Amino acid sequence: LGDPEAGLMPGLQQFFAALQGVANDPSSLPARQVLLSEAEALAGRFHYLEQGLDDLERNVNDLVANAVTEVNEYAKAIADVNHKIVLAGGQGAGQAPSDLLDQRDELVRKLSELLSVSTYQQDDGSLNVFVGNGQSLVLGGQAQTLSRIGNEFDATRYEIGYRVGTSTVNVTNQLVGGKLGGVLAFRAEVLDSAHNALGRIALAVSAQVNAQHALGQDLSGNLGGDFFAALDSASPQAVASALNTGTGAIGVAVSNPGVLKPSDYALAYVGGNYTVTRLSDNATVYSGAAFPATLASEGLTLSLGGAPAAGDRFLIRPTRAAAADFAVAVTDPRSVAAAAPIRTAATVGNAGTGQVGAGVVNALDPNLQQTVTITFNNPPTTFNVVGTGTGNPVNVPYTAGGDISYNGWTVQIGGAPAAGDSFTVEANVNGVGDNRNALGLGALQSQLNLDGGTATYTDAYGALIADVATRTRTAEINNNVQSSLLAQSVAARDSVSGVNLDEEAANMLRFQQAYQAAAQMIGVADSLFQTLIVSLRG
Amino acid sequence: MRISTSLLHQQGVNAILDNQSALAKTQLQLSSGRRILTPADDPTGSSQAIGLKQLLAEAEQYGKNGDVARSRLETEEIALAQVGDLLQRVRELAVRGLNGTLGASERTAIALEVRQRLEELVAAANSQDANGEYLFGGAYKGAIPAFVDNGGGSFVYNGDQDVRQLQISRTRQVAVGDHGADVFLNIPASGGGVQSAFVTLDTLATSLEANSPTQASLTDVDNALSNVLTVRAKLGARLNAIESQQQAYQSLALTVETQLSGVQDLDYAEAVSRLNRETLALQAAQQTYTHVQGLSLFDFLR
Repeated sequence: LGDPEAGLMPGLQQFFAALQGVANDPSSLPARQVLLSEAEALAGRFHYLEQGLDDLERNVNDLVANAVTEVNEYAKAIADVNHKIVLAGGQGAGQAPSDLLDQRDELVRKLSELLSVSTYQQDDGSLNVFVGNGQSLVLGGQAQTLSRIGNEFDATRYEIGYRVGTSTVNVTNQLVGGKLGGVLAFRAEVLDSAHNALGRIALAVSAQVNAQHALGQDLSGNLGGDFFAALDSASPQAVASALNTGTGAIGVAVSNPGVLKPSDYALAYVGGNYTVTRLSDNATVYSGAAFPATLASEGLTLSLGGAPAAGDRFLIRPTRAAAADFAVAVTDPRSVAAAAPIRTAATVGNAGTGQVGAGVVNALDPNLQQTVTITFNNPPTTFNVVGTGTGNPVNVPYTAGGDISYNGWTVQIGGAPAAGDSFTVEANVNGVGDNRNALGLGALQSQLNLDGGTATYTDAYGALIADVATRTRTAEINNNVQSSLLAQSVAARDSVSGVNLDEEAANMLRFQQAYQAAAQMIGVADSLFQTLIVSLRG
Repeated sequence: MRISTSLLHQQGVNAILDNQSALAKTQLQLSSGRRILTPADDPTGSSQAIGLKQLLAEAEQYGKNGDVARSRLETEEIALAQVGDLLQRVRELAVRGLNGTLGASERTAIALEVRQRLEELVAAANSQDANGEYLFGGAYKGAIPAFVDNGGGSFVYNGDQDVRQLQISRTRQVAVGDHGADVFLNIPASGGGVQSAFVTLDTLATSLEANSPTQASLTDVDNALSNVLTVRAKLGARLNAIESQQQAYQSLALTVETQLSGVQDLDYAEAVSRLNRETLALQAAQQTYTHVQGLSLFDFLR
């Protein structure tokens, strides 16, 4: 993710550098082709990173599936050994079956490599094993099984079920520790947030580049459409829980990528109230009886079809799929909208010093490209405006440098125009050398476009890297601490139950000598006897 | 405390493995030259490095934009210099034509050269850059030239009043051209209003051909000349602005590179001495392991 060559950074940088190339030379087809290639490369970068996260997700799935199988096998083996130990305890007249106990200890140790367990020894010698919040895995000679189940919102996301009677309970969030707890925590804390953070950048880049691109004009004189595939309504997902009983279906769209947060949301319909919770920090962002059609603070709009039943839940994922869906819509280099669709001109022969700025397009008004003439009155403190869509206002007061806005554009006239001077705003016909919209697109790179105007795309990516890096670092530190704790425990255990060969050798020598001494005694006794017997014979 | 033999083995092996992984990391750092191998090595440093790299890439890009802007302005400067020389020559011709001792045939001869110069002026006004864009045509590009002489003193401007701006810093854009209306059309006329440079030359030639040159036509030529000089002066100011901006970015790039190097690059002296230390530690671990493993009471029992 953070690799200087393979991360997202170089892709973003080269895309914006190519935009500057187009701004420097707007009529050059090669420069436009480079822009399209770099845009494709950026899309490829998003897909590559997303692919990496998807692969990790699949790995987690595999690990969960394998771990569940292993846990079940160990549980069964422990139950078997328990059974044998109870039997042996009955037959062996008080003698502990140490081999079986050792075997069970080893099985429990292996099981606890997979997940945290607690044990309780019963009077008959059997050992009960509990997982999570006290769910029994082994009770005497009986083993319960865990099962692999799909997430209620996403069947391809494996979670862990525990069978109670005839129903299966999801115990995923209660399982901690061990390899299984580790991968589950990794998925919940790192993988999901990385997915969302990457998706948010993809969504914001595509939506904001598109918004600016639409305000431009391409080489053929057409208004610019979407530059990237539009993701704001296509990519966000809202999934109903598999457990829902109502017919409610939720639609979601991004209305403002500038305030979008890299998080999923949970929507619950309980007791006639809708509650929306932001999952990254568990903050409640809405609660009320009316369906939340707009979540302005989160930059989302929601829609409801059908009727949810009480207790129904939905998962809203605005940014999850955006990095995978990121694609370039423009295929023809001529269709890159580098120019602005309007141009301004001061009439040749104007007597005053009035000057008109290049103007800015704010919105796609249907009359955007209508010719509008601004003529100054005598005295030139007011002007009249003539043109379709303006309403032809007369005697508009003039302020030097003030905004004059009609038909979706804004221009400024500065200086001191004389009476009778006129200025025009019109369609940018043949304006192939114009680069104003390309400059607008290029400016997106350094604009604070995210997090409500506090972060650039680069900042957002830096935050993602820092977040993952800090979690990794924390994990490394925890790992070191836990390893030294483990080493101390092992040393302590071994000092009680371990074998030191030197000690055993010394013991052996001691026993050997004792044996020799004993044997000597027998030898002496033997010779005494011999002597006695011989003397008696004689 | 009793140390079990297997623990003793394990500790020895662990010590060797720990030293080996530290050594491997240092080796990777040395061979890549990077202090931060994964972001987890230094979370703050790696996100800081991303910001600095962005800044550096921007400085580079704005430097490049400055080069493009300068080359465009220099091309324009050459065309304007040509126009200036040409108008200077026309001015000399106008002064000579006003000389009272000249006869009709001499004035016709002068008029002939003025017409030549007019053609040259139209050609200069239609100067194109490498992409076939008209230097003085605004954003216009088309088969018909920006300036067309329709004959009979009628000239048409097909260009627009767009002036291309290039981004030479985050906040600063610089105009990299002047449109034809400013350079050739909006020139104050001696009789009030404005008159294009082409019409001025055409009027001058016509008056010379009629053997009745006026002082006013000389004034108009002077106005056209001073207008070109004004445009050139503005252009020079823009070139200076680009220059100073580029210098500012060069020194910024140097500072940022130094910072970036401090954040992500390896201190070789430190890394090499660390490598030596770690090698020594590994050797010690290996030697103590073999030494300690050699110690067994059983050896003395044989």
